[in-house]
Amino acid sequence: MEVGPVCSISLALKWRRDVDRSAIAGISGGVEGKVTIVTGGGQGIGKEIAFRLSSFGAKIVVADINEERASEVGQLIAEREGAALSIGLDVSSQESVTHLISQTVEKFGGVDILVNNAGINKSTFIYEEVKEEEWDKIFAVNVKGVYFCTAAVIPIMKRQKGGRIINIGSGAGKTGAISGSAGIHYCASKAAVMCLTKSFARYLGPHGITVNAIAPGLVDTEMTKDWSALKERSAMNTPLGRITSPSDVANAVLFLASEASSFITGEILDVDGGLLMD
Amino acid sequence: MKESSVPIDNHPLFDLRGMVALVTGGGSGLGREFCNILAEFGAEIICPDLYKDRAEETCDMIKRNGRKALAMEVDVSKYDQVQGLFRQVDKAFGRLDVLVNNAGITSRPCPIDQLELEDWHHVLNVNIHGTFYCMKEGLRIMMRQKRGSIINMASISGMCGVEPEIGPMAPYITSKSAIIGLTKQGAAEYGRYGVRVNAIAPGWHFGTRLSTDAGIMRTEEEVQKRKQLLASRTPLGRTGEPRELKGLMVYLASDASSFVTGQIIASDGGWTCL
Repeated sequence: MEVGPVCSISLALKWRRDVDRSAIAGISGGVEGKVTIVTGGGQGIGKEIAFRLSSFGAKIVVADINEERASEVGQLIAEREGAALSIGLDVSSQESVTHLISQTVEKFGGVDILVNNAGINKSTFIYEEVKEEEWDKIFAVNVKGVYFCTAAVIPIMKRQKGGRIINIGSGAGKTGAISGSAGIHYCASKAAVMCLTKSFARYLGPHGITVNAIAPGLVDTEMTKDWSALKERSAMNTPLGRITSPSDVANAVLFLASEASSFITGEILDVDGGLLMD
Repeated sequence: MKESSVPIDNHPLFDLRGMVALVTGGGSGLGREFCNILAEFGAEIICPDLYKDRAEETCDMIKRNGRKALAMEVDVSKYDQVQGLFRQVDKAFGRLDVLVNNAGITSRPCPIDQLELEDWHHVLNVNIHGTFYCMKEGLRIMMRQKRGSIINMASISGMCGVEPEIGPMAPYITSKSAIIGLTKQGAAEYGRYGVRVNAIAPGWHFGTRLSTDAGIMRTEEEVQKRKQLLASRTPLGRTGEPRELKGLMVYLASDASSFVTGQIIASDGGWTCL
């Protein structure tokens, strides 16, 4: 799997806490010291996001349904002298989300950045065979989860007169599933995430809170490890000739979380090597 | 220039050291901001502008901060001049990593049925043809080195049209739509050569030459009134400042966006929400 140049840079970067973090600060303020919640931060894209923002000095709350994985990531960050809190989280449970927010506020005193990354895709690909339970499960995590987490940070961000919310959407939420790359319910759930993004952007703008989404193409993670034929086809159809890496997404999150994007809101940023260009 | 006093950054993710960046229309407004920030992150700057003295002013600022910069007098709407520019770039630097097609003009607000043909052609010549000429020449260098980032200047008005009360400027808006097409096609054709092509679509910004050249605002009172109108309809509740586009420029120019191409990124405070 070709991973492209940024990956190697990010590997070098990930654990170098001595590097000059003023890159974005040079423009007008970075993410240093910012309290950042990453849902689904225990693995895949979320883990990469947690590491990337931590390497730029953010305080990270690693929240994951798998508490063990969350604490592994939290520990790795702590070992590199980053501030981290790891916590078990079921985004589809309002109670669990409330607990996450109270723990975050108790430990770090607020929330500056929320990355709604938690999502599931394991599903039936044959459209007419989706069972009610599976449909509900996907929507509970991918849509309700984004809604609950966002709603929960609104009072805090309003009080702070600012904040950043970054949702992970998907190209599949725009095009529909292409040749069995995802279930129909998954695609619909990601379309909903992007609509939540725009609605919240309009609603929260007056409070100085920006809400944006990233729409990656097929990402090279644990979740997609068995999809080699699909990945190959996707890379072939992509102008930049490969699929998305978690690092590509993490870099975009870093940009949208920093002050460098202060006038950007309601935007869906495709990180897909030119696959869609819609 | 508060930002320019910040020490040159050397973060690998955003590092532009060793890179050569060309910003058309770099002598004033946004173009100057872009030159400054790209230089601040380490790039050597080529600054062509229709007005040599303005280009030199920009370059003097950059040189004072210890970076290399070359000012040139170029009318991007003249193909022979653009050819000359890129010949010189190739000769003097031997490479081109970042091309910012920023040079652009607008005509005064005027409904379509009353437009002078001359205004129409003039705006399209500079905005579309200028961008095309520079891409055509710049791509040849970038293809050869198998890397490069082209950043075109679109506008949210080229994505959604605007009401006559806000800005009846069909030539400008048409040109910005065309730039979006050119951006996507460039991305599709040159991705295989490692060249990325993206566009920035700014929303309403004040403090640039373009916004004053449009001749929409005459008195300070009118400026404030217009600002208020635009702010009241922007989710973030304000108009933008030119410096707010600098971060996006660095993101798109650097390897931080190495998998982003064919994108039209709006920085508009939520005006379009597209």
